[in-house]
Amino acid sequence: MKVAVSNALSISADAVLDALREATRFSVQAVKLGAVCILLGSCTSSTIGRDVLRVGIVSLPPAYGNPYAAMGAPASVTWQQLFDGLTRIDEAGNIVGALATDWYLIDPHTWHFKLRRGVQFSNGSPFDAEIAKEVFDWLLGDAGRFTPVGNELRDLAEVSVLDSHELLIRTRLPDPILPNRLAMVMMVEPNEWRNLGPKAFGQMPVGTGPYVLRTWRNKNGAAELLANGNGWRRPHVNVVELYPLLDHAARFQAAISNQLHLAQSMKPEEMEIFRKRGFDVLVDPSKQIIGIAFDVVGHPESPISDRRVRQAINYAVDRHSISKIITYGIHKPASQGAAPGVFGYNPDLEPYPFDPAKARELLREAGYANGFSIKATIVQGTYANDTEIYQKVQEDLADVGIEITLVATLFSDWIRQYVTGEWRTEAFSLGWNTAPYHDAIRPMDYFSCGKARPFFCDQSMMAEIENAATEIRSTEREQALQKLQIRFHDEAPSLFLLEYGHIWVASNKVSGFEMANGAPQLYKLRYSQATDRKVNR
Amino acid sequence: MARISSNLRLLGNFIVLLLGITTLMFFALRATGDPIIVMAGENASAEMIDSLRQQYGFDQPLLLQYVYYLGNVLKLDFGASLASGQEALPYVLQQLPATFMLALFGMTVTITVSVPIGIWLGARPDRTGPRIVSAAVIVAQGLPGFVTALILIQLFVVKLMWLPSLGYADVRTWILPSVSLASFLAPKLIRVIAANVSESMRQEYIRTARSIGMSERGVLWREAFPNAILGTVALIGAQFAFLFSGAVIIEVLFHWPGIGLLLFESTQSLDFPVLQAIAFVIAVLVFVVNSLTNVAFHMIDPRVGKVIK
Repeated sequence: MKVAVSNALSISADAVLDALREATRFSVQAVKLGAVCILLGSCTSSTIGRDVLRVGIVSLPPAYGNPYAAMGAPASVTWQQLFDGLTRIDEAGNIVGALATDWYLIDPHTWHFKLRRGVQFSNGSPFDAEIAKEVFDWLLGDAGRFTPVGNELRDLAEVSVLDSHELLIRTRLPDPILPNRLAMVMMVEPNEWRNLGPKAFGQMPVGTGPYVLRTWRNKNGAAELLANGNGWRRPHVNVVELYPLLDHAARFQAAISNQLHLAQSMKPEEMEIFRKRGFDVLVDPSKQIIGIAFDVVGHPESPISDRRVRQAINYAVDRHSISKIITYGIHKPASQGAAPGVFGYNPDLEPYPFDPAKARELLREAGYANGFSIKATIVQGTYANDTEIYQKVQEDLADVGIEITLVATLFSDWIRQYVTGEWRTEAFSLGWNTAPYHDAIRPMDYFSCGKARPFFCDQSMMAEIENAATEIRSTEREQALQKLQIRFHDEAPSLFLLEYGHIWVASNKVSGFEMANGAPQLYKLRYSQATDRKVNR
Repeated sequence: MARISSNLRLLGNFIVLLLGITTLMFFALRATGDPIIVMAGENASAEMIDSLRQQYGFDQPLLLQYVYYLGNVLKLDFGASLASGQEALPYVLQQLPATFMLALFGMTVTITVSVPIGIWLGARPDRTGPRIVSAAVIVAQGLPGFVTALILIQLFVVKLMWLPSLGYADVRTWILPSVSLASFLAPKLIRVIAANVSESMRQEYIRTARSIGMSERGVLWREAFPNAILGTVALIGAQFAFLFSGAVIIEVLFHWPGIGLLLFESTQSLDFPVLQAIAFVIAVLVFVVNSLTNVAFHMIDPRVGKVIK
């Protein structure tokens, strides 16, 4: 015990001394550099003068370079630069090959994948079927299955190697979207993963992506990535800085002042400002529907347990005005729990029309002619201008006699209620999120009895949902999902609001800007002109 | 002997303070939310959440967690960051040089601006010029530092595009954060210096100095100013200590990768180990700066020790 304490103290003392030494060295250098700069009249940073692509993002991934610690955006923005999955979802939303070149079903439970040849990790070690199997085995094992990515693979039964570049993947139930799921399973270099463990690997990840990490935080406070010399795709720009700018004002100001080449999550009202300054503005459909869900299971006595009331709420809200005025027409009114382009989207469904008279009539039929009061838990800042959107909903509902009190909370509190199913209010903000698989089944699953501790459960829909989840034939499956969209539209387990999209801006100093599955394809970017490499520096 | 006893008492107070802060942080953070659920994500199964709780020790009764936590704090072990996986204390200490540098720049600009203006205001408080400037200083004191920072960014970064605002690798990035901090700290320091100088100028020894023919400049700089320093040193010490904990918004706005930015990011992800380590480091820094201020007091005016005694 004494030895342990003494070791801990000496290690911590060393850390303190190192920090003090660093601070002193730093200050002396700073003063010297400052003096030199004042004398010379200008100074540049370590990355200035090199080709550096600066990208403003909302945040770095949780657990940094451990790609199994989260699902989808915003983490995928960083991870897609460092790693590849066997498949990927391309710019048009189609599932295409990445580390796999081809795949097909042998039987409803078994998939055959052919892997790309000649792929190396950034440390030079080769990628093959044995390595892919090792990654899957870890994710299916005791440690991996409790990670968010491992949790998504819970129906995988077995992965076996056919030869050096061919894999067989068996699932317990037929899984028509397995290739989509595998786009989220990034391949890590297994020796490094095994030797370092997930935490240390996260600090210095090794993947097959177009870039390799230099540091998670350089002096600009940015994650610095370098072109992966061993990569199977060569990026045009050698150095990338990812700036995690959670504060919107900081991100906007950095982008508009040309300190960034690319910036994520701008607001609709800022688009015109950027366009006037020559930026390209790209609205990347996030495959999410903004909505307010109803906790029917937790509040069986509430008016919202009546389908007519839920429909009335949908009729009472003027989503066209919300779209036009608050989001400048960028986010279109939603008709269902999926956006166009998502597999299972039903193009024949129209959004609920704005019809307060119809809403009042439905309320009268349900026995609430004099209206009622409910509360809704909301997390502000999930979507651009969401506070204004919720306020407009509140105003529209008041016009038909429904008084809705908005209870703002933090995401940490919201997710606790979501996971435990213990909602304090009758309604809560919840999007229909078809990302990252671009398939309508995902939100349908959590708007059903299939969710652990569900908030909406209609047993009569479960057979249809299970059929759509396991139907292997593509056409039949699409039809099943489209039929389910109609059921969900009519059951109205949520107020369907808008089809959300993330607004990215790109400086005119870069070209070739494309988004795929919520992440910019940085390796495709080029500088427009050699002289335009520097940005406001 | 008396000094040793006084120092021991100070150390005892410091240990009690640290214990109070670590305890408060432990319980207050656990009241804010459940980091395990945030880590596990929206689609987590109950089994997955239980496994993570076990992995991070959150499955134990709260009091038992507290006992383990205190035991580890004694070994200066705050655990690993829930976000990055790095050991929390070394991780926080890595950010310290950047915060120290910002504090140093902020204080340098503050002192450079405040001393001449404060002396000028204190030397001739009844004249029109100093009165106008005094009024402006009072107005400036009411302006929060982050407002000034936003205005400066809008002007120098967005409109004129003269200066960058991200990080600190480029020397020009040091200017705006330092000026923003100084804009918040300088008005108070100016007012204290002005009041102290003004008070000194009314003392008997000033009249004596004048009567023996000393120039007005000599009176001001050799007699009044040294006597006005004492109260000023206390404020500079307090302001320097404040900068270690209070520059969060400035670090966020300028994306200055120091303790403030880390605090902001860790709050978002409920990274308890890092937040606890930050609170601990800031408490130690504030104590160190205050102790150094006391030492400076003794050096400037040995009578201070006697008064305490």
